[in-house]
Amino acid sequence: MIDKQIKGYEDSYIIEGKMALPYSYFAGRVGSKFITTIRDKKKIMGVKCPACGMVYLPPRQVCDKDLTDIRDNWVEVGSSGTVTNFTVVRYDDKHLPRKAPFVLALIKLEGADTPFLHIVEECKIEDVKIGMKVEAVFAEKTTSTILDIDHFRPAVETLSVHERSKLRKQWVPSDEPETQEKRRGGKPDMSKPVIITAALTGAATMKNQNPSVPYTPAEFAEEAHKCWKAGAAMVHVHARMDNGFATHEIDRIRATHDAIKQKSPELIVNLSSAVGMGKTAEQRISQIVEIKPEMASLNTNTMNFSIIDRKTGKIFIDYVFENTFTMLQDFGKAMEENGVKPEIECYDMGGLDNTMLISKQGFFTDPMNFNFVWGVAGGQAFRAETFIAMMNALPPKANFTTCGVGTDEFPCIMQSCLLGGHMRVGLEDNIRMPNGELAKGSYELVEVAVGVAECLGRPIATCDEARAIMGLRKK
Amino acid sequence: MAEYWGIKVEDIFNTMQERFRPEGAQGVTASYGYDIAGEGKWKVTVYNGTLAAVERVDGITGCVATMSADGETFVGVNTGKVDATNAFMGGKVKVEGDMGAFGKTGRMFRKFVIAKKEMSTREYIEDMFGTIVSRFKPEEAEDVDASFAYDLGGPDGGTWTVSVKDKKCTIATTIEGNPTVTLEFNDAKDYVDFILGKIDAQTLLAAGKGSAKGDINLIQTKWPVMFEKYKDPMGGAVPEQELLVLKKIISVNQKYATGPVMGRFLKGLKDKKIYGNRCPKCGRIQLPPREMCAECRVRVSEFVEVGPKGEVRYMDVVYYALPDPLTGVARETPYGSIMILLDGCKGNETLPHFIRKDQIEKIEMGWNEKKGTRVRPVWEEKRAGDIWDIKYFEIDE
Amino acid sequence: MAHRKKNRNVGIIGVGQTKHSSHREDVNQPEMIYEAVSLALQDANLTMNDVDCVVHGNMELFEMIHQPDMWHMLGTGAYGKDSIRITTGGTSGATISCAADNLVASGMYDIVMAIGFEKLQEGHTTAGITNMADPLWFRKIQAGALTGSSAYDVSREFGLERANRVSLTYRIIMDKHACLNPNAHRAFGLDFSQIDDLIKSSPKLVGDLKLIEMCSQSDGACAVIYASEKKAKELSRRPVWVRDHIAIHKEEIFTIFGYNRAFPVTKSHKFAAEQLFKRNDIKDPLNYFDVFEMYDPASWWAIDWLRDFFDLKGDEHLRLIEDKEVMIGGKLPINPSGGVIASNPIGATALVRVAEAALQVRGGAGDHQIPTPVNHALASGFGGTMWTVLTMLEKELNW
Repeated sequence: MIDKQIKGYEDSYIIEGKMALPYSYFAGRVGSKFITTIRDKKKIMGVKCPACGMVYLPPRQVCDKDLTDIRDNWVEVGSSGTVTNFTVVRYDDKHLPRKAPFVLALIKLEGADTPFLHIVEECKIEDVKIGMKVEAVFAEKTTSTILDIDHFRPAVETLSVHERSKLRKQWVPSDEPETQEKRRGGKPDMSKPVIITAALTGAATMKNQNPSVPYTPAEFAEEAHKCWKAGAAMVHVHARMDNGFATHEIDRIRATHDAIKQKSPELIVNLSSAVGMGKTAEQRISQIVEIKPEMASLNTNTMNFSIIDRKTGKIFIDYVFENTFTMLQDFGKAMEENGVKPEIECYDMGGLDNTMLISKQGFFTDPMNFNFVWGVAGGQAFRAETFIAMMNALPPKANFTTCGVGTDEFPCIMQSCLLGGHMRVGLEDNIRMPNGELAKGSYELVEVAVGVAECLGRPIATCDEARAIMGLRKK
Repeated sequence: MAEYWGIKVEDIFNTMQERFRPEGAQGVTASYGYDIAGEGKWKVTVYNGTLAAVERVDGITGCVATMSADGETFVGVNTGKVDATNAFMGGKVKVEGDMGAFGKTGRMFRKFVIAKKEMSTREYIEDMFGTIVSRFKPEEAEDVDASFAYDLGGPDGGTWTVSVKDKKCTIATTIEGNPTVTLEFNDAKDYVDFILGKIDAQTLLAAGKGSAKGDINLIQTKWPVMFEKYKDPMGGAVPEQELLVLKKIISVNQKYATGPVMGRFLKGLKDKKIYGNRCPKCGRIQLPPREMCAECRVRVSEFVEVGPKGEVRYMDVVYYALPDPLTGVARETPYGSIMILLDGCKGNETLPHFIRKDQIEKIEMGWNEKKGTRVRPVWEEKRAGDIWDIKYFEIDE
Repeated sequence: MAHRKKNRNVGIIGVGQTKHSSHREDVNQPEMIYEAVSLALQDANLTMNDVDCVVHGNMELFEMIHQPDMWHMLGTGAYGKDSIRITTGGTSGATISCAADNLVASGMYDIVMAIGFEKLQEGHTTAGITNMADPLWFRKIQAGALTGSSAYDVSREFGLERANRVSLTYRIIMDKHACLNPNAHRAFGLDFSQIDDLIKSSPKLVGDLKLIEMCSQSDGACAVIYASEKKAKELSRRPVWVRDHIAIHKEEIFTIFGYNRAFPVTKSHKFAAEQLFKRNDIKDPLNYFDVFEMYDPASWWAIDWLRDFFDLKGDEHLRLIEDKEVMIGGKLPINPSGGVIASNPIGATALVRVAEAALQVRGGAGDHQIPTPVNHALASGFGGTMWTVLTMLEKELNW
């Protein structure tokens, strides 16, 4: 009864009531996959809009901006992220997931563009801050709801490889240049930072071999960014069409190049001048001249470039990769004239000698940068002594890096790192980790290279150090 | 006995023992009859939560409920090929006897699962090449003049040449001349796995299980555009996704202010009085009373006591079990929901309430000049000013 | 209730609806809405950029999710646009249509998309309806939307046997229509020979209202795109013109069916129809309209309401059904789509009536298209305690 009745309303009073109704909610395909993946695989998946590049978390069927159907574009995001905002719940209610007080935070997971709401625990409420790094703790007893992530807790802060590199004294070119004599002496300079290159695609590695092979500019940007975070200073890129085929179309290559630069402005982009099978010389070089990347590959030898069964010797695909002296000369000149530093690809000693012949024309600028390639069917296989012979044949001031197809990848980069050279890894060359499992992306192979360098005590080159070492003109 | 989807009616009964779920039959003791037209009659007996007997009988007796259907519908419903609700509503499945009891059988048995037939490699190969011409898309084959040769080894292998020319596709079982592309697989089974997406080309090539010769670019780029993807008639290797359904009861405490008019009505019930109010303009009595006459748009202030006895003008016998809004729990059925024309009211100025459960059958409804059964309210001992202060109405004898 | 002329004419230029079904575990609410929205955009050959405003609605208590418009934006496409949410019970879909029509007619927007949806499998429909009644008294004693009073009414007047047969005849006509409509939820393949059998075998829900005679509970969504005359003519070869609509809502009363003919309750269907036909100068509506998409929650109500809509005398309404004049090919086909009995996603249901009527006028209904020309169509909505919305559609702009 109301204490003080207003005249005329004496008969009004309050009745206690209740409403109790059963209901169910269908999560749908997208919502179900999101939750069941968290429950069964302890992984958090979002969806990415191919049109605008947004990675939505929680996932949704359409991009709300233009109703683009994005339901099948699943991407895994990290299980750690950053608190973008939070609130402290200070009242108790049966509908709430925890007893008060507790923290509800908006958390932007790594790789996601939208924050999502969850509980932050395992720290004092006062210590929760915007910008704080947190990681997911998955529930032991699952309920097929979002609480299969039980909560988030403060993550141990770790600096990325480049962040760490930037803290040490930066490398500057010394007055005393690298000489053949010094190399022959077998005392490489281990204090010189090692440049790690990630070769993201190549022209032939497809998604069905490793789903992390990027096709679209957005995917390239994403993969390149992950590699940069893992420690790569440079990416080597063969652009692809949406269906995965290698392309020489300038617009597509430029879009790919620009997407990478936009997401990771520091990173050096090294474009291929081979592009893919059966392209003309004009198609191969015109894109380099148009786009003017900081670096581009320069092939040195007409050679077999085939797919052969390693066990039986049976020929699956037979192909001749044409790189005449004229092409070596024209491509090399075109690159130097346009401020593109050539990465000189040597598949055997002959290729190196070819380059030395042409270099007599004098258009190659110092330092020259060589890449020793191992394991192509048509080129030499990896042998430690061959590696040393090639290194010894280099001109003064030259740098060298190396890459190997398949399982050649790991021994060759180790030897290069040991001898003071640089390292290239990535899905172009090899799709698997040393233990034979598929690599989650080129970045995982970069992590292996970082491990090799750290073993030998060599610092990892930052992008600017790499520029200084290789003599690039920063754009 | 006829087979439906490869299953006989008796298969369903013969597997009942192994499909029985004791947790779905707790506390149940009953027999259920099944009359399957043209197939026979069965009696299924559950005793104290266990499946006691599944027997074929000549006549169905002693069952709480008997369902009848034709063989196809019966097998269909049990295997999920036929929607049970549709079959029931459409009259293809009938239930005589205690419907509610029969409904419980749904929880007692696991679904009958059809053993999945597998297609042999030979059947797949025949289907894959047999459907190539029908999967061809001529509009994508402009200017294509090529032949694709397949040489598949193993016991199920063979040779085929698929030729595309002038936007036409033909297929032959020989390889002649110089095909544009030749694909060799040591074992036809690998080819089947490759087409079904279970293994990728690179793996096959790398393992030396096959090779490709000729214009490889053509088969890589053009073939997928020119031909629709092969659809696995067995539905493919992708398992059906788990779809989550969240089940909850929402329960909220509420408070309502009665306002002066409804308050007067509800307080009246406390004193065993029923108040309506009369519109000063049209003279109708509103029950329960309202502040306004919505028809005349005038304030209504004159309260009149009506009833408490009256006659039943209409009764709904409710069979559908509906949840009580206060608890979410289903009400017991059937019950009688009545419209009572209380003494002092006229026309359609009726009040809804319930009739005493055991009197449903005796109620006669009024109609125009005809009077319905006389009823009186049965009051609660302790009254709180609530519509439930009247427990129900009963016949006024 | 003077009829105000529209500021400008409005045409329907796009229609999309999902298949109505009770098995939509594969999509959540916005995902299901998206299906209808994208079909409507496709039908109108538009993108979401062309739509100026979205009117969206359902009945919240049916899914037990409050303010669904917030996250439904993912399906409605209302991101960054004007959006209005409407809920008026069973009439929701019809009210959404009226609002869209008004918004365009007023000149506020050139193109408006109306969206209605419901996922009835998610909640408890009847419980939801119960919670719409006055919580102080009637919520506690009513039985949702279930009542056998129409059955009682018709049976008292014309005898139980005839009434039962007419109700089942109407039901089977609806099923025959539903069998022609690929979007219909329930299509059993019933035949008139089953009438006696179904009268006996179909379980009773309330009084003489049987399960077979009651509407389904469906999951489904419907989207309809309205455009100004200028835009409609530019964008569509066959716009369907919205001539007029009327909405009648009433207080909460439960004597809506009337038990004493000497004291008639003003039935809102009758009231609305009379007003609408009068102000549009339609003297013989039964002959004027070529199709009627009626909101028929149960076959008993349909047969009872028929005479209210068209002011029929004696047993004319029963004869129309007995003579199958309401079937496709008859004098006034009712619900070629199969109607509400076949598919009932409540928030979409009344909009589906408008959408299906528009498809008939446009000649785009597919297998359930009426073979004779359709120039004038009527669609009704029903909700709450006898609320009515009627919408008139025309092929030509010539009234």
